[in-house]
Parts: sequence; structure tokens; C-alpha cells
Amino acid sequence: MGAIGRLSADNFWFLFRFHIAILLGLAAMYGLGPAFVAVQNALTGGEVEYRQLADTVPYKYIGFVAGSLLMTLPTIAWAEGRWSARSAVTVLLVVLAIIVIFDVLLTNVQLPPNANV
Amino acid sequence: MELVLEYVARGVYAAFFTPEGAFNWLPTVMVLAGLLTGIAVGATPGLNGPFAMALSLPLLISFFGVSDRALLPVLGFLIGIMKGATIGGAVPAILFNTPGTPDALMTTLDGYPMAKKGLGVKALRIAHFSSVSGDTLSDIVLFVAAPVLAVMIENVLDVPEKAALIILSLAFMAAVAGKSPLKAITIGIFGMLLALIGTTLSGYGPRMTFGIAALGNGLPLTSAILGVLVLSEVLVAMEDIARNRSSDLASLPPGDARANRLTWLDIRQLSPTIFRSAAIGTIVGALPGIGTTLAATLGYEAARRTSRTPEAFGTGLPEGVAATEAANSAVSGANLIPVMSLGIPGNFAAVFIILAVESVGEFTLGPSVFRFTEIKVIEDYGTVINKDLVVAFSIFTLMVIGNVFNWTIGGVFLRSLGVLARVPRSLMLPIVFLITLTAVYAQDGGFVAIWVVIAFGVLGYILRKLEISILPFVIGFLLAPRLEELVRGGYSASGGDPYFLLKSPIALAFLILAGALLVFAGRGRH
Repeated sequence: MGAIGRLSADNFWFLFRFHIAILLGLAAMYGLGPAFVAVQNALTGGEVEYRQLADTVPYKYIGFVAGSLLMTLPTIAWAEGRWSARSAVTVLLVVLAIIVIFDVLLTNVQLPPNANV
Repeated sequence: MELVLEYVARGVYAAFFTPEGAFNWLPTVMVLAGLLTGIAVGATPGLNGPFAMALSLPLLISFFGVSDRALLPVLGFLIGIMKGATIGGAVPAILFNTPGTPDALMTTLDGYPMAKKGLGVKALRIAHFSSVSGDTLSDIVLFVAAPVLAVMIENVLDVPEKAALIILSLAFMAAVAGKSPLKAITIGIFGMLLALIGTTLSGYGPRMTFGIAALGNGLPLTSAILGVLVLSEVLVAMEDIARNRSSDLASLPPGDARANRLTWLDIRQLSPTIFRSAAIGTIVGALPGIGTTLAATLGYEAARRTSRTPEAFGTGLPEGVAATEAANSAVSGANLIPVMSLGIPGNFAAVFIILAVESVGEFTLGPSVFRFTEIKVIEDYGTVINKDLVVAFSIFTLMVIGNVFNWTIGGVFLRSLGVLARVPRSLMLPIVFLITLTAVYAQDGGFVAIWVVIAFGVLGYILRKLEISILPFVIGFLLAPRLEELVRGGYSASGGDPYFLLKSPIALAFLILAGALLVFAGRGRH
């Protein structure tokens, strides 16, 4: 561990790696839904925009679910030194619970990235 | 006295009934829900009370809105968490030698050896009894001290003195928290500067935004505080786990049910220790910036020094568990004394109480709350009354309700949570991270909130690594707008005298005391 009372290169290396996972997760959260719609448009010849589908299941959850998994599972595996099915199932259940609370029970808020599209 | 009782009665009534006279079960249920959540959170390693308060505040606001009626349910839940979390921290401390919350560290010293002897359940019973006793005593002190202190302050202090008092509080926190008072006060001032971004009290439009339009309304308050408090702790803990991968949850011997009972004799023998520690915790809690961990350490040391068998401490002595738990739980009520009487938070839990009050309804904390305005009914107008004072007594009522739940069902719930103590932090912390990001996005409405929470998380991580206390930063950030308002008010009232703060003898005394505190604390550390 980096020495207490000062910052070492190790600490910055940790911050860098941790935030790479977070930024990848956020990028997926922001971009995967629109990317999915773009691919769908390319396959079907449609011209619909993600903005029009941002309140429609499953489009509105694609980015959030993928981004959540991408930012949590690697960090858990890194901390534990291994990948585990238990972690994946737990995170999936938590993501489901977050969707139920923030999107189903609460009607006045939006999950990422739907307030920004 | 009659007027005081009238306000108390109205406060108690408002905690149970709507203004229309219908029974209102919501605040009571929210206190219970908060208490159980708090106990569960405290029992889960890696989580603590301020974590849970931070994550639930955006959710509560989304559920209940920001009207006056939402205030008591929201505060009830937060108060419940605050009370429950310190008690819950004893579960992993006793059963697995892992403090669930930082202040439960001292509980491991005698709690875990008791568990190894097959007396884990008895240790939990002692922890619960001591904890709730300490909390109750501390609440009683709060109910008496906060109004008295507030009335004194309101009678004596004017605008310049109140501004100087905020500066003194910040200096006190910098002096007692962390290793370097100079660094702490510097970071406190930095927090104040960041809070001034975008605010428009100057009348000249947004300031210090560096041309970034998104900063026009200032940094989102909840995101910034969640970042520096919650995210930074997640980062530090994740780094620690990633570097020290280990699991040492040992299996404990089964206990004898009879030996694990808490008898009247036990209670009689432990009472002096509990009372002494509760008094220590209450005094420590009333001073801003001094945390529960110090209260637990002082309580434990006092019990050891006054014991006939000090050498037995650390080997599984019930007095050790009682001393620690009574002290750390007594902090939670008393730390609301500066919040209720001055509007100044003394620790992280109090920060979230203030955040809730600032976000919901029109109630504001501070000395003016305890103005005992005469209650008059004027025809065709309504009742003239200090509504804030009624709310304050409703909050006290919620705390009493929390204590009643804690005495009655808190212990049973506490003893059933051994399983939570086995949840690995490596799994819990990234989930807390995800929930934090989602909550700030939902409350503050977009990715700006996420960038702010991450930036403040990194800032908090750096401060923690450098062993600079985060509390002065948070308090500076939180209190800067009020300080600016007071300074501007005082400056205007003095006719534009730039030395107005130095011309009030009390304000001058506060400022000199603030400087002296920093100088002496700095020298003491060297």
C-alpha cells in the first residue's frame, strides 16, 4: 500500500487503473444505447434515433446495465484476484434493484444516460 | 414555562398528526426503517452510517419531494440510520474481529475475545444495552442543551459575531481533526472557495466558472459531498483490499444459552462504566470535529484506568465492550447540539442532516429556531407561531421514537445480523460506487454530477492519503454560503466598514481564539 501521509506513484497508478474501469463503464453507459439503435437502423433500414426510444424498454436500460457491469465486475475481480459467478449474479441483482427503484418506483428521475440524450 | 410546554406539545403532535388532524404514521415508520437499515449497514463491513445517509438522501428526496411535509419522514429515516449504524458496527467487531464501522474498532479488543470464549451473544447484548443507554443519555442532553445554547447565542450574538463563530468553528475542527492544523485550515478555506463557484450573492452574475456554463449554478452540493466523503473512502478501501487480499473469518465456538444471558447483576455491575463512557461520549460529541473513534478510545481508557483489574482489559472483559459502545453511541445525539443550536455540523452524520434540511422544506437550522415567540391566534389571519421551533421539537420526538424502537426491537435485529458481517468488502464497495453514481445522476440530473462526484472523490482520496482531515473541507464547503451571507450582511450594516468584524469585542475574541487554537495545535503537533 502507498505510504500513509504521502502520495506515492503506486497510489496514482491505482487511481489510474481504477478510473480506466470507471470511464469504460461510463462510456458504455453513454454510448451503447445509441450504438445499439444505430446497428438496428443499419440492419433494418430504419431512421429512428435513440432519443426517441430513451423511454422505451429495453433501449433505456441497455447502456445502464452494460456500463454498470463493465465498471463493477472488473474492479471486484481485481480486488479479489479472481472472477467469480457469485459476484456477477450479485451485481446483476443489484442493477435490477436499482432499475426497479430509480426507474419503476420513482417516476421523476432518470437512469444514466437518459437525462443527457 | 407554559409557552415552552405548549411548543413541546405541538412538536410531539406534529410528529404523529398532519396539520389537518389525521394520524400520520409515516415519520414513525421511516424512523423504524432507518434504524433497521442503519443497524444492517453498520453490521456490514465497508459500509457505515454516513455512507447510508449519503446514498439514501437523494432517494428520499425523489420519493418524498421537497415540500415541508417531506421533512419529518426524510429526517426520521436519516436519524434512524444515524442511531442504528453505531450499534450495528458491533456485530462484525464482536463476531469476526472486524469493526463494521471505524468507531467499533475498540469493541474488537474485548468483544472478539468474548466471542472466542463462546460469549458472543452476551457481548452483543452488552453492546446493544450500552449503546442504547449512551444514545439515550446523549439525546436527553441534546434536548436540554440545544435550546438553552441557542437562546443564549441568539441573545448575545449579532451578525458579525455569528460570522466570527463560523470561522472559530472551522479553526476548532482544523485544530482537533487530522495531523496538521495548518493543512486542515488551508483545505477548509479551499472548500469555501469551491462553494463560492457560480453563486450570485455578489449581484454581478456567476463567478469563478472559468467560462463553463454548467458551473453557473455552482457545484452540485450533494454530488460534491458524496464524492469527497463516500467515493474517496471507497477508493482508499478498494486499494487496501486489492493489495492485501485475505480472509480470516474464523469459526467461533457455539455458546451456552444460559451463559449468554444479560442479567440484572451484569447490568448493575456495568452501569458505572456505561454512565462514565456515555458522559465522555456526550462531551466529545458536543464539540465539532471530534469523532466517535476518539470517544470510544477515551471511554475505553477511562474504564481501564478506573478498573481494579486493568490488566484484564483486552482479554474478553464485558466492561471493555460496554465502555466502548456507550461512548461511541453517546456521540450521535450530542453531535446534533452544534447542528441544532448553531447550524454547524460537527461530524459527517450531521453534515447529511444539514443537507437534508437545506434540500427539503423551509425549515432552517440555527439559533433562531429556538426563539420562543408567543403563540397568538389573530382573527382572519391565523396563528402567529415560530413554526421552526415546532419542527425542532418534532425532530426531538423522532429521536425519542428511535430510542424506543432501539430499546425494544433493535437488540433482536442486531443479533440476527451475523450473516451480513460475512459480506466481503471487495463486493460491497464497487456496488456502493455504482449506487453513488446512479443516485447523484438521478438527483442532480446528468453527467455533470458524475464528473463532480468523481473529481471530489479523487480529491478526498488525496486528502486521506496525505492524512489531512476531510471534515474542515466539507464544513468549509457547506458553510461558505452562510458565512458569505453573514459577512455581506455585517459589512452592509456597518456602512461599508471593512474592519467591522474587528470592531465587535465578541467577534474579535472569537477570531483571536481561532488564531490561538491553530497556533497552539500546530505547535503541539510538532
